[in-house]
Amino acid sequence: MKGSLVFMLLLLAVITATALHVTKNDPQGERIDNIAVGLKGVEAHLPPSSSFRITLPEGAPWDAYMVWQFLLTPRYCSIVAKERFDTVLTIFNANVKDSMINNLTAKNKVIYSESAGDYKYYITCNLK
Amino acid sequence: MQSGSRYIIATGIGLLALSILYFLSLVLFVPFLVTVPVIFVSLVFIFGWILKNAVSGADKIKHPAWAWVMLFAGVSVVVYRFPVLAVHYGGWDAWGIWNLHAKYLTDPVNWKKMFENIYFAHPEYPLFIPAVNGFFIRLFAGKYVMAIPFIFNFCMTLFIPVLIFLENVKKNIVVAGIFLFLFAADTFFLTKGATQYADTTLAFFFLCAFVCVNYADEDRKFVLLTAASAGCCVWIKDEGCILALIFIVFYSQTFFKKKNILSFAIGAGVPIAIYLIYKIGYAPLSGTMSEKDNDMLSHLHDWGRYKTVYHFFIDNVNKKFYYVKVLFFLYLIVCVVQRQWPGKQFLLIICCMAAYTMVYVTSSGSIEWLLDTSQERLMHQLMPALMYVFALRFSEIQFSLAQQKTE
Repeated sequence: MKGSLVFMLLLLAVITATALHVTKNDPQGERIDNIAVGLKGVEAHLPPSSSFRITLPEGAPWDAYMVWQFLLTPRYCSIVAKERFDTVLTIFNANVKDSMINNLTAKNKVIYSESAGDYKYYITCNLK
Repeated sequence: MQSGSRYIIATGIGLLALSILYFLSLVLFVPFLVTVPVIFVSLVFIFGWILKNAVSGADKIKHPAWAWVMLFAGVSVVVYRFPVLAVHYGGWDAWGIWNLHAKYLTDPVNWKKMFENIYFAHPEYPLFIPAVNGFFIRLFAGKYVMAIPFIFNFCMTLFIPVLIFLENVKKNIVVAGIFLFLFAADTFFLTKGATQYADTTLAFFFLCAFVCVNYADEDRKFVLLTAASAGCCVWIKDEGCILALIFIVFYSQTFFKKKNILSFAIGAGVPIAIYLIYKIGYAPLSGTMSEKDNDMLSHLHDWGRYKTVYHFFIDNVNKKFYYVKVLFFLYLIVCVVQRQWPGKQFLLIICCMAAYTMVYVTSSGSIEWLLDTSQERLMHQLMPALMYVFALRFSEIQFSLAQQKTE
């Protein structure tokens, strides 16, 4: 079988499969894309070389951390308690109680805050 | 070798070269504007070299039109099923490890920050897949973070059945077609590719080594390609070291012939050297290495652990590799009828499975958890090579019958 024709068939298969993949409805993918859009402001305030601690929204499973880690690459964000960082990215659910936000802002200096989609982001520094 | 197979092998070896050159460019701070043309020229050279004199006797055999129909239909089934089984960003390990590392490698300044994430992201894993995906993501300015790993994994998944088909179609079109459709209909096989984990890629390169070594006597080029494919297994995943080592031991007579030794040294040496540079110079100590306990010897005498591995193995075979089980017994029956021992490549795969078993038996921590999370993937790594071995033997049945008639 002629190799160049086989190669063209494989190329056609790759193009078709990719078109099907990117245009299909995928809730997980859309959720990640939405979070990525909401993180633009956070990304602008955290340099790519930075390392910081991340606090997940209430009720989120621990591995949800990987979504934000993935999207904020090459920055390093940590959820490991024994790792200490001056900068903390706190993520709240959009419907978080004001008292929880006040509790955070009263004890820390807020560098940046933004409400984006389903989440509210606070970058704080523990030196007030 | 069929020229179609050569295109597939050339793509695999091209990706190996790309990953090595891109990794070296990051290590040596080479500007991307220099890296891209160097990689492009290397790919042109690799394709030209592998495809040189590609028209062989096998290509001159006229295949019936339905060989093409069969190939088109098999590929179409994979094309339609694969995206349905995939999610946009792959499974947990994909964006938690492989694609995460790929994103790190798109940043020439901060890529070493990946080594900080030692708790969840396994930064000690080899960089073949992240380097390939990272290169293309960077090439397209970060626009196709979702599509590029998908394309890579789709290619690896599709190449496996097509390569087995092309290698058998010249001998027995029916057997080739059956194997192509078995893969295309295998939801477990396609799902493993769609999750964007590294196992399908490892399976593909291990298969390439099996295919190329069968042509080692024709041309030294194939010795180099065999060694490069086996060496690439090391650069894909740590388990690849076991596979490559066993492969090299089994084919040591071929590799260490005076005329072949240089080809072997170049083919296997380059990816293994890059792997060692990465492991010694950059990667943190892996979890399994640092957690190895002193109970290894006592585990060896613990028959309960062997039993546990066996039960998980049988369970996986029955649930996820049921047709491979049928073909396994069919293969043994054919061997008995033909009064032949199982081939060297079959024994090689059994040896790899035995080596994996010993890793489980001697591992620290919960063996059940380890088996539950990884045994099916290790079996998936070996399955395409095993299917190739089966297909080769079944393809020869018609040939030997025809030969008997002429006698």
